[in-house]
Amino acid sequence: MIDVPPYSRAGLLALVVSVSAAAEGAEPAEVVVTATRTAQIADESLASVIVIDQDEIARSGAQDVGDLLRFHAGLDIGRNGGAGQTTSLFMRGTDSNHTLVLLDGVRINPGTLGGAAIQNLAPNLIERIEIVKGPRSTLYGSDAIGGVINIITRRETTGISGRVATAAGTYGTRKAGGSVLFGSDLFRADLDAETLRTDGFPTLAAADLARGYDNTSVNARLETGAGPDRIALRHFQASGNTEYFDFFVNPVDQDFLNSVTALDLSSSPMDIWSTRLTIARMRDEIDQNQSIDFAHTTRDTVDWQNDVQIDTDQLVSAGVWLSRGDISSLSFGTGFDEIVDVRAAYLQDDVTHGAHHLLVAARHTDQDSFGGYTTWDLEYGYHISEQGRVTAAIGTAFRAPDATDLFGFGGNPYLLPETARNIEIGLHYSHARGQSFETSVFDNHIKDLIEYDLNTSRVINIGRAHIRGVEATYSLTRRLWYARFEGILQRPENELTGELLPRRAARTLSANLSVTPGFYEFAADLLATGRRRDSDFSSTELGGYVLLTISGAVHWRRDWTVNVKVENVLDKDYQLASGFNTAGRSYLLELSYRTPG
Amino acid sequence: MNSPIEPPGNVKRRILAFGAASLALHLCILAWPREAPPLQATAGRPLALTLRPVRPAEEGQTVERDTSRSTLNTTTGRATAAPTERASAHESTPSSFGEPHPTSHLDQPHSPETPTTPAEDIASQRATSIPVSITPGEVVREIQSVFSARFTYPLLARRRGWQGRARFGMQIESDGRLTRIRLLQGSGYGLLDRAALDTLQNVRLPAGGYLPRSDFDIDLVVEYRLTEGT
Repeated sequence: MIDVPPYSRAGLLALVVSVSAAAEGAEPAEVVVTATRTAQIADESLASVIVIDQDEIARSGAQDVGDLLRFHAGLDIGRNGGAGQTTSLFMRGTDSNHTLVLLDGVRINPGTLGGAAIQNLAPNLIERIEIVKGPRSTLYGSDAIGGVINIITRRETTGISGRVATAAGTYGTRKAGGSVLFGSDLFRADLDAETLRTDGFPTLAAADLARGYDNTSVNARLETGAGPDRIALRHFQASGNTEYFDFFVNPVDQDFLNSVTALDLSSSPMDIWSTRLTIARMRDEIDQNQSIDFAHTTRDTVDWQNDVQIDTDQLVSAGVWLSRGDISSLSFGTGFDEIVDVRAAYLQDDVTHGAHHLLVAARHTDQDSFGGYTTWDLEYGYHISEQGRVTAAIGTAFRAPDATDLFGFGGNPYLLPETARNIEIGLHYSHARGQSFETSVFDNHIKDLIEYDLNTSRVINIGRAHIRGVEATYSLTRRLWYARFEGILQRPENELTGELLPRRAARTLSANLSVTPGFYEFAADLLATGRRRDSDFSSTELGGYVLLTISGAVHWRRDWTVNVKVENVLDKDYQLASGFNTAGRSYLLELSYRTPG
Repeated sequence: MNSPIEPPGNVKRRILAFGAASLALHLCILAWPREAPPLQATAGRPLALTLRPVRPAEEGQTVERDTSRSTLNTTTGRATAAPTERASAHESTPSSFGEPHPTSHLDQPHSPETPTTPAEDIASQRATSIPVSITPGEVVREIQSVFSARFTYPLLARRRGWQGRARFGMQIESDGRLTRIRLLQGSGYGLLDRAALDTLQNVRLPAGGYLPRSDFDIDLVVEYRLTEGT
């Protein structure tokens, strides 16, 4: 009687339509069509995506983004001490500069050595974090070999809300912050700020002087427009000072600045066509206070994205990305000041046909130092049933040599990009009663890795890595509680030596239990990770560890919240980098007030 | 690396164990009993259907309130409701569909076959267009059953995070077709409005006498809303 249309099963699965009837007289009939919010940076139905939402962030009491990420399998953290200290992220066994980090869509990886300064990003300013594992260079360019992390800052869509919070804890940690977020039909304004100061603890096991950290973060945003036609101006800034020990265990400190200023113009010239232009300036600056060393990146980008929906089952995306980086550095007497221009264009077609889902994408990137490089991506998903689907993907990714590789100590201006080819097969199953399970097997070959060559005393494209792994996630959502288990088994191998790559555990398990009965909340995070090598240059091994963090919140009169966090409950003595301390059992107590409604 | 202030190990361990046990117990107590009643599957906003005759009641008929049973609580529902239910239709009189209806809509079949044989096969009633005891609630159920499989969230809107409410006016013909569909208030996103309109244009309620002799006009709000994934 009802002929079922050839609508995509993918589409059907993703949505729930509810129609209900009630005793409300003249109210019109209402159909609510809901769908799961897709990550801004990838389609969950094809890729491995983790979303850390506002609730998880608020409950966690995490002091920086690294703290939030570490409890998810496949995200290994290396850290040279406590809060604010250099933090490296190894996603799915790849290198620390193989994860692209975006702040509201703008790349914040520095143009110099290392990865994005996630240790300086305050969780209280963040609405959600989207993590996409696997190669994403085709849409996002360089560095996205292990995956992409998109950090979305807080904003209001309707109404007005205000929040003030203050916190204090172990290691002389104190924090204060507040926000005013406003949204109406035509205008939105958000202001969010936080300042953190911690006396810290000795970063080095061999020292006994505490090294502190302070960070003042501000996020401001103005937006006008309605529907798909909007203009927004925004500025995020984190600045402060990090104390640490230098190589000779002298106490030193450095000032840092991380900022993104952007103008977003979005429009929908036709119903089926959405276009967005983002003009942004990103800054990443470190200035050493006891010497004249520094590392500065200022990158201006123009990012033009277009999405066109063709029929109901096809979405074509095309875009152009232009950037100019002004990168300067002085480190141990080697300095440079260079301009790096990058131009890229990409095209992606996302088609759903019945139970089949296919995504094809390609990107060409042009950078002066190495010329052009093309990446591509092919992903396929098949719905085996209403609840289950299998996916298969093959894709390439790259990391362009950074300015330190090209011009720094041992620099080599003839470097080629590091390139990766990843194959992945996944199974996803979600049960209507709140259970979901997914697993994926991946095989990532990375070649032309830029490494220092002792024979020629410069960096060359010599390294090769082969990373194989299997990861699985099971989650159970109930009305009052939520549990999640994640695990990864991986073999990140240096193909030349056959040895395991440093600071990446072969085995990691994590579990999260969150209970939210209403007036209080409780969360426990458990991380059990295996041993790792410390570096390529030594046989030092970092022991495995079990880390338990619990946090709880009590809401009082709906507008007051008291949040308690106990980190490292078991008081494990462990290291994330050889010779560097980590926090012992520590406490943080936070009191916050949020305007009602 | 240990925290600077540290009570003696044993005491600490005992406090911790006690705290953990206490917490676990509290959690069990808090979580257990409330878990029993599952949430209503229809999580959306409560809905009421506005039904009114296309032509105002002719001949100055007296209009009476719809005395149909509540559709909220019946699980048998739909137009296949058992005759016994019909018999008791007047017992529960929810005001949910309090819009005036000409009595003729409910009482006067326009098919030669009359509902005098309540035991008759429902399917055959459908087939022969007998508007037996059709109630607005049943119309809602039909809409529910039909629409629930038909709306999709446009890909582009999901990708871009577009959400909104669009309000449509339409007429339900006695054969189940939706006609005179018009957008009364847009969602702000042409794509969402168009997707809803396309769906409504292709939707057809099961034909065959669900509806009373005359046609219904309904206002329908289609809300596109994104939810956070897990």
